[in-house]
Amino acid sequence: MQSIKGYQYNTEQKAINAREACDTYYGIPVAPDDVTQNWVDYQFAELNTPQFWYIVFDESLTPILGTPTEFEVVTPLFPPIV
Amino acid sequence: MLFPFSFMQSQTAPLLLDLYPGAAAAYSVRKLRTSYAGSAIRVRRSSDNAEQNIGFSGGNLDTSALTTFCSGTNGFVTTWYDQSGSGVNATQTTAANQPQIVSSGSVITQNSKPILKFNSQFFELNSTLTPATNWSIFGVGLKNVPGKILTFIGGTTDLNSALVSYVDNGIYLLGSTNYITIGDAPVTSYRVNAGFVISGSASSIYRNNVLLSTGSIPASPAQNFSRIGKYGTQYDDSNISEVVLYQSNQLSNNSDINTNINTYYAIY
Repeated sequence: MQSIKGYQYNTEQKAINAREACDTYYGIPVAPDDVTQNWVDYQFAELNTPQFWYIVFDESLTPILGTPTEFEVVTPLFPPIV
Repeated sequence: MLFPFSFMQSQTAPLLLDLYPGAAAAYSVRKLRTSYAGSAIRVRRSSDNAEQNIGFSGGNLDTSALTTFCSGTNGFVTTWYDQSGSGVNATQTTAANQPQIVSSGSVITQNSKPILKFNSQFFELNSTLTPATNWSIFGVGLKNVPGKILTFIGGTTDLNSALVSYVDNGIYLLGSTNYITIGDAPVTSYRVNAGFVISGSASSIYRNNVLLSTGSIPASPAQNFSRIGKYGTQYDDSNISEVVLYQSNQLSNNSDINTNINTYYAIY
């Protein structure tokens, strides 16, 4: 379990919309042949119940996505070191 | 440590991949093959998010071109070009996930050599590398903080992911369902020159040219190598300067390759 500060979405489409809003705000991509295609990306909390999508907080996101929240994301355990 | 201008001595041929050819993929802040004519990295600067390729000067990363382009701002690596000739470039299309190489106009360095700083950043390989019977992996890096990792190469899933990774108390060399682990002191205080040979029952882990562990990794694991700086959901907090992968058993060259790396990076 990992505590994450960020933005939580209950559908993938809402996460996609948030990502696109950040791209628009920062003008990404700048040029057609740029490698950079998104300002930020979302992740899938696959092991949580219910599952959800989220964007990890960064100060650059506050003007677009607002105040972040804190939530728990289930992460798998490492195999044991022997 | 930050350096505002070029300061490094030139590398002279033969270079690492001239001496030990046949790498499946090779990423570095130094030139690795004399006949390689491409760039080292592609960089995005924070001032206007413009991008530019940066090449080599005297066999080193062209830090003058890098600082000129970034012009007092931050620089982030969008592409770490594969110097092997295989065209397996490591890219990151999301700005927030691009490792940093320039801070406020100065190249970020360690031991006077440029590093790519991964702090929840990572690269995806533009084509995955399927672990076969024999693999040899060499890397230069530093795990920065407890609770985070240093991943020279990883797969997309958390468990049973093919990977080479340093965690808090040891090292993973994983195939599909089998893996070697070796307990090791936290590597936050020194740089790692890691050599890994995956060759069935005779797989091995080296650090700074010292054999740490041997064990069995099954042939042809299900998971592909596809990332640098992350495996599954596990992010790095690390500095990485070089990753070289061979799809062959380089055990006979292991010591010489590690020595070549150390001659340049002065790790141990």
